[in-house]
Parts: sequence; structure tokens; C-alpha cells
Amino acid sequence: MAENKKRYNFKEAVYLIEILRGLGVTIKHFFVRKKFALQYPEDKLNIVGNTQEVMKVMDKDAQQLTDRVEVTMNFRGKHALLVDGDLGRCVACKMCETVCPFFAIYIEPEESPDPRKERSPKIFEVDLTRCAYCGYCVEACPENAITMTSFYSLVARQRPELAIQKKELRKVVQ
Amino acid sequence: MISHVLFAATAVLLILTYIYAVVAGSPVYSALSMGAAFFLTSFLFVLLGAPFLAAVQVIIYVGAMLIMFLFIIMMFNLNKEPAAPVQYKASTVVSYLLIMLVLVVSFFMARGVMKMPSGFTVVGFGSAENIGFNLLRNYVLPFELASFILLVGVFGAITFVKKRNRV
Amino acid sequence: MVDYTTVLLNTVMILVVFVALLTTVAYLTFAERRVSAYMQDRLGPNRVGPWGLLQPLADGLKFIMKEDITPLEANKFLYTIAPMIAIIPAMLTFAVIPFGHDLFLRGRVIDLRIADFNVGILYVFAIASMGIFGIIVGGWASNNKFSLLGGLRSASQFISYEISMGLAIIGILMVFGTLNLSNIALYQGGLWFNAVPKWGVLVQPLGFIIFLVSVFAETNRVPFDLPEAESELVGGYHTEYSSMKFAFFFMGEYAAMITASALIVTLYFGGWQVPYLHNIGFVIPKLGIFHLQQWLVAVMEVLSFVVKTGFFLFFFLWVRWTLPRFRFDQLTALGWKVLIPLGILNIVITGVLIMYKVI
Repeated sequence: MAENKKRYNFKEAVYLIEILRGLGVTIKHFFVRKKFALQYPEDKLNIVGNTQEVMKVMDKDAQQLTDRVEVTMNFRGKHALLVDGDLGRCVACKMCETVCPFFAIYIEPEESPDPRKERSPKIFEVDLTRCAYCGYCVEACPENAITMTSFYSLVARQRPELAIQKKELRKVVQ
Repeated sequence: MISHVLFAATAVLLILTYIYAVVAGSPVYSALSMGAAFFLTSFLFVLLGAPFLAAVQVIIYVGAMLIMFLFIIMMFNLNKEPAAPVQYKASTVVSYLLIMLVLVVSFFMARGVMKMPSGFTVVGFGSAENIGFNLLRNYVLPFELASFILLVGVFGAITFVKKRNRV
Repeated sequence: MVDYTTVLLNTVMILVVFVALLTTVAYLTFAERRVSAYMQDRLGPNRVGPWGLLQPLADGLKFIMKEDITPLEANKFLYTIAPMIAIIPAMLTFAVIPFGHDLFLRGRVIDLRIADFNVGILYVFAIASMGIFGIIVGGWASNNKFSLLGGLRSASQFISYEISMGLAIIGILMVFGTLNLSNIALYQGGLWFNAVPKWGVLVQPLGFIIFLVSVFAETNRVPFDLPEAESELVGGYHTEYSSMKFAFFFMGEYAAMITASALIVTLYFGGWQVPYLHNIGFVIPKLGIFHLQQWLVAVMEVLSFVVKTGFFLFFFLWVRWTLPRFRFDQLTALGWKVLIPLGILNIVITGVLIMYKVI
């Protein structure tokens, strides 16, 4: 400790002056402060743009964070089962169920009302408490039926509410 | 009247806490009950009309000495060692009898105190000014000599520490 | 013959001060979080009630509902009484702090303080030294090495800084010649060279700095919060404590802070004094007298005390979020090698100045 002792000049050695300078810095922040925090339930993030753009917006001016910012397009949120017109794309092939590393997906097939398909899911359940949002199910799907939305507000009062069913997953494609 | 009752109750409690400080199995309990005893002593000083002495008693004995005791007890973890079992030898019995004798004598002395009127002290007795005048004017030489004795104690402590470092 | 009105008045006064103290403790915890947040460009708790003002209530409720855990190997008795030892002295010390001049109301003199104690300043020291036992005993009784280290640090820190604190106030006692806090506050209304209020900080600038630093150490606040250094000792002396027992330690710390601020104000910033304000109104030398109602003067005095104390409470928080923590050897070096010699120097200088009748 003794050998690398720094030599202080008088101002630093008295210490009190430096303390006052430090106090000045904190009081400046106390009165003049930038708004970084997002008041979540009132101000929500909207999802537009890609990662680089979002980062740019956040760096440039944190003030306008609440108006403009935004989560990226490739954000992986809640799942959705795409529906063309009336009929779902899913053929209940169970590829996603198989590939899912967390066993979050459960499918029970039935005979499809659509003459072009053999099967469609009777039960399609995604347990969001197990899901890690890795997106493997999207990659594995041969029909491009399952996808991930930008919906990130996954809140529930009880665990069963987070095991979402086919109905809630439905998303109509224009 | 009420101050007499308080005085007697405090005195009894004081003796009990000191006895507990001696017989307690754990050093920490012993030290803490000594702290309670110091505090009760200062309460006695208050009842006797010497608030300055009371405050100084607490500051010096409780605030400094006792913290030091506790510090040492905890630092060396003395509590882990089993306390020596109390053996009732003849000497123990004799010492208990002596304590009884002291209690009886002090009881009679306390009766003497109680006979005095409540305002038995001189005005300003035990006040900071009075003690200051006595210590720094009337008895300044013994006072300074006492401080020299303390200084010798400090030197002694430093010498002890120095020696241990050299070896 | 017992004067029942006086008894009633005193009871009301004790109640008011006690409730005010507890409320201030509660809102100080809130202020700490809010101030720290603002200084770090955050927002702080703003959800419970308007501007988060009901946060202390929510905190209190949470503390009550939490499970009260006593470690298996802890010393049950000492573990339980330690939080009580910590909080009671912190509350008791406020009794001698004067927060206003005597109030003359309908032929009755009302002291605006709970106890007018002749050796008030020593009383504060004595009772404050009891509070440290809560920390030491709690740290030891938890049977946890981090708690024990926290308690030990607290003990050595307290002993070191109590000396420099005592030396600092000796200067004040020499200048004002009394141990009574009410009189100290009263004498600070005097004028120096017929112009400057004779506040302690102007008479004793060096003593004030020593006292301020020592007070920070005595109340275990940053930069001297080594007894609960999170980065080294987990939670320090209250690592094992939970529920209301923890809350008591917490409240004790904040109550000690309030008393410390009040003491700084009383000793060095004129207590309840407003410059040039007397019982009859503003008396400014060479300019004349502005008469004011008696009750208005009393209100202004109490307000002045509250504002000054509030400023120092803010100062405590301000310093906490500005400075990093001292290392332990730096702490003891500052106490023994800097503050105590400075304190003795201060006494010598004060003595010389009093001899030549400057002060």
C-alpha cells in the first residue's frame, strides 16, 4: 500500500473541498434531471423498426423515448397461429411440439373440416410459463402456421391463465 | 415519598444486577448486566440530585468501558469456553455471608438516608459548575496527578504493544 | 398539589413530539428513496398514493406481514431485545431538544420542549451511547459472522468518534458557558459586533466540521456506514433480522438521524432562533423594530427549527448519495489522527479567543 501512495496536492488532501464538489454534482442531478424511466403501464412500448433504429432513437434523445421507441420487428413475444380466411394453417403435424426444448407446446389433432388437409389441431396449448421464446417452433413449422408476435405483456393472476389455448392464439392474416 | 420508594427499588435492583454480573454463566450476560448496573447507579445519582455525575457515569462506564468489554468478549469469542462450574466451598459460603452483612449494613444506612428530608442536599450540589469548581480549583493538584497516572497507563499499553511487535 | 393543566399540557406535548418524530421517521425512509432516485436520474417510489406519499404505510404493512425468523443457533433473549435497545434511546434523546422559545399563553408559560434538563447535552450523549448496544448485542446474538463483524465495527467506530464529538462540543460549552440545550439555543440569539447572529457555526467553524463528521460516524451513515457495509458484510449487524425486528433497527437509525440533525441545529445553527427575531418582533440594530404578534413569533420559531432540521436531514441523504464508503483503516485514522488533534486544537484556540474577549 505504501509504495504506490499517490501524492495529493493541498486541495485534494484537505478533502472537504473535493467533497463539496461532489455534493455539487449530485445536487445538480437532483434539480436538473433527464427522464430515462418509462412509466410502464401508462407509457407502453410500441413495436416498429429494427434493432439499430431503436438503439439510435434511444441514444439520440432519451426524452422522446416514450413517444417513439420501440421494440424491434424481430422481437419474439407471445405466439400466434395464423389463419387464412376462415381456416387455420396448422395441420397438427406436431413438428413444433417435438422440437420444443421445454415441452411448452401440447397438440391434440382431429379430422380437419378443410378437404385439402387431413388434420387440424383440436387442442393447441402453449404453456407460456415454460416457454423460453427461443423461436424453434417457428423455424420448424412446415406450413408457416405458428409465428411469434410482439406482444410482451404476459401477466396473469394464476398459472393456468398462462397456458393459452388455440382460440387465444388465433391471428388472422390479411 | 415517591423518590424514597424509587431509591429503594433501584438500590435493590442494582444489587441484584451486580450479583447476576458475578454469577452469570456467559461473559456477555455478565457484561450486559454490569451495564444495567451502571445505568441504575446513574439513576441513583439522579435521585440524589447529581445529574451531571449521572450523565458522566453513563457516558464513561456504559458508553465507553462497557462497549470495550463487549468488544473484547466478542472479538475473542470468549463465550464458547464453558464457564467454570460454581463450587460451593467454605470460602464461597463465607463470601456470601459477607455480602449479606453488607446488605444488612447498607439497609440500616439506607434507613438513615430515608430519615433525611428530601431536600437534604445543598443547592447546586452535584451540578456541573460545582464539580468543576471543586476539581479545577480546590483539588486541582490531585486531579492533575490522577491524569498523570492515566498517562502512565497509556504509556504502559503502548510499551506492551511495541514489544510484541518486535519479537 | 398537582397542577393538572400542566400535566395535561406536558402529556399533549409528549404525544405531539412522539407522533411527529415517528411520522418524520416514516417519511424520511420515503424521502431517502425519492432523493436517491432523483440524484441518480431515476423516479423512485411514486405508485402508492399521490406522488407515492402513502409508500411508508405500505412499507409498514409489509414489515408487519413478513415472517419473523429467529435463527436456530441465535441467542433468543438477546436477539429479541436488541432491536428494542436500538430504538428506545433514539426516541428518548429527542426529549431535551428545544424547538421554540417559552410561549406565554393566558398567563401561563409553556416550554416548547419536553424536558428542560440542566445537563441536557450530556444526557443526549449518555442516551445515545445506549443505542449502540442494540447494534452490538444484535450482531452478537445473531450468531452470524457478518453480523458479529458489523457489531464489532460499530463498537470501535462509536468509541473513536464519541471522543472527537465530545471535544467538538467542549468548544461550544466554553463559548456559551452552559450544558443546558435550551440556554445554548437562547444565547445564540445574541448579536456579534451588534450585527451578526452569534450562531455556533460562526463562533465555532472548526468545531462544527468536527462535530458534523463525528455525527455522521455516530449515526452509522455513509460514508461511515461500515457496520452495515453491503459489499463486505451482506447486511451487517441486521443480516439475520426480518419483519418488525428489522424495522425497529431501521427506525432506530432514522430516529438517531433526526436527533442528530436537531442537535446540529441546536448547537450550531441557533436552534429555533430566527436572526433578529425577538419576543416582540424583528429587532434590527439601527433600523428599528417591527412588531409582531406573540403567536406569530412562536410559529415562526418552531418553523425555523423544523426547516433547519429538515435541511440537515436532506444533507444526510445528500451526502449518502454523493460519497463512497471509507475503508476501515481510513475511518480509524481519520478519527484518531485527524479529528481528535483538531478537536484539541479547537479547544485551545477557543480558550485563547475567550481570554482576549473576541468571542
